[in-house]
Amino acid sequence: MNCERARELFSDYLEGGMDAALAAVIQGHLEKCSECAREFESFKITWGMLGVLPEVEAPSGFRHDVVMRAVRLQQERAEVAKRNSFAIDWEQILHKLVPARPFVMAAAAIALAFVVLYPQTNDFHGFSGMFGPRVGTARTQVSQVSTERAMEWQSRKIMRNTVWAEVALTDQDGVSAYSVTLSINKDAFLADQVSQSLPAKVYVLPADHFAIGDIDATPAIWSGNILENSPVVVPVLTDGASGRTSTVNLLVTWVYQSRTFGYVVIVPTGKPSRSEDGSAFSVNGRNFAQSEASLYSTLQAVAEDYGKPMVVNAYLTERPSIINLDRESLKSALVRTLQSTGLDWMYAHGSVYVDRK
Amino acid sequence: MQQQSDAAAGRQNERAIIERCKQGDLSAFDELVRRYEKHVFNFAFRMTQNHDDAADISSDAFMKVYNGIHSFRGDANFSTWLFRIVTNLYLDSRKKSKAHMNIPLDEYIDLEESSVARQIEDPLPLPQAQIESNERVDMLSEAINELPEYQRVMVLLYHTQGKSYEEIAEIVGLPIGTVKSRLNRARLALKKRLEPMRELFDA
Repeated sequence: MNCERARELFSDYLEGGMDAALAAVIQGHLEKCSECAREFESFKITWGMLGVLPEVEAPSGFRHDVVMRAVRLQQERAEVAKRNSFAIDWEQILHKLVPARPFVMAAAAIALAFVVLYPQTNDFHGFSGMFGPRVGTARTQVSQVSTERAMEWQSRKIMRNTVWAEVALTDQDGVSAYSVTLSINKDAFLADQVSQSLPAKVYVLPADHFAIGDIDATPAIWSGNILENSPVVVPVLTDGASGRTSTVNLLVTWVYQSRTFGYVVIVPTGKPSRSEDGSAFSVNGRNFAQSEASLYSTLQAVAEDYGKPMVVNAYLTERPSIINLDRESLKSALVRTLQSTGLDWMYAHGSVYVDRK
Repeated sequence: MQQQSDAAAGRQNERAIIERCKQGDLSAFDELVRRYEKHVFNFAFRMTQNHDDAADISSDAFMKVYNGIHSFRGDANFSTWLFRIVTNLYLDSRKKSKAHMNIPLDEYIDLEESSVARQIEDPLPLPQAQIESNERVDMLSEAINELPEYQRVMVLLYHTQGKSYEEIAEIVGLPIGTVKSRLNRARLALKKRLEPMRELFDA
């Protein structure tokens, strides 16, 4: 055994429990090689040193603050769910949902926002299920583009920021109401600390309109400003009364200092149908193969590839299933769509930048 | 034997708390935070080496738990899930600050101010033992801080949080063999760095 190999095995050897024959080989090496023997002694001592870091206390009031964050969130969700369940008031769309946090970073010029999609029918986190069946929560988080790309496109004449979200709802028992929450990400920082409101619009397009160019021909269902402290809740109706699956494309656009940063958020929601042997299932025609990955690690993987959109199936969050999203097919579907629009666009880091000049 | 059944009872109890939490019971959430706040904060603090960042990460981690508790499987290990969230929040925050070349100017100013303040407020010399132990902690923290991010996370999980290789593998999402070899590499690097300061630790 050479020294390098022996040192690779120091941890195992020290902890014991390694194969006896291998341990004997290492022991033999240490007896013969005085340098490795010294190294190993020193290694043992280092191991001991690592235990001396003292514990620190969490700041006083930490638990209280965290629980209060949760309390506020629960109250606000319950309020929104209740209000939207009885009557959808298209005028009353300003709800405070997420407690504000001051912007802590000041660096490059990037605005970001996140979109939360959730069915508003019922039963969020303790709100009793009196308004309908529990269908779970779909949550989509949009993250910032890279600084480098942002800078590259900063100089171009770009007018709008586009979030592309496909929401396929398979409710088959009548009109369903979903809501989209728009807010400025608590981690967002705006370059000049001035613009703390983000003019935005929400469009709902029928499923067969799948081109960004169609935005101009479609009236927005909502337009206004997202304020730093006041997330906006926009109700979205889908009609599943015909018994068919109703699918809508949801687009959210926003303007930030006359630049458009487009984020792609694809939310495949819908009841999954299983393949006959149970080894795979599909949602809206997309196949999901089972793998060892948990839903959580899948989300992490998607986040890595897309910047940070969370791709969540509304029907899967209730009981997380083992799924493996086919990221490549999501991306290629998107690119195909964009190619048909005739717009000047680019795809980078999971984001679509659309030039509206 | 008794210990084992206590641990089993503890897990059972925790599962019940998580179930209540899923029903939206805030007192159950409060209980979860109480159980883990110290572990989470310590881990975040050792990673960030900064109280405020550690508090932010810890708080955000618990909110992620609150928001995602519905998707938490009953058969999974809650603490592993929680540490995974904390680790990812930390790595994300590092990525962000790197991406923006965010120079933490305030931090330097804070550091300077606080070290000045410390000198003024503390006219009496510290006992020798305390100086040594502070130095020890500083050296160790510094040495750990110089490790590559993943190695640092693993060293802290193993040596300060007492996590097993299996748990660490799950937390950082890497195969157990990779975790073991990176940890070994990290310890060798720490050995090299700490060797010259050995006498501080001998006492």
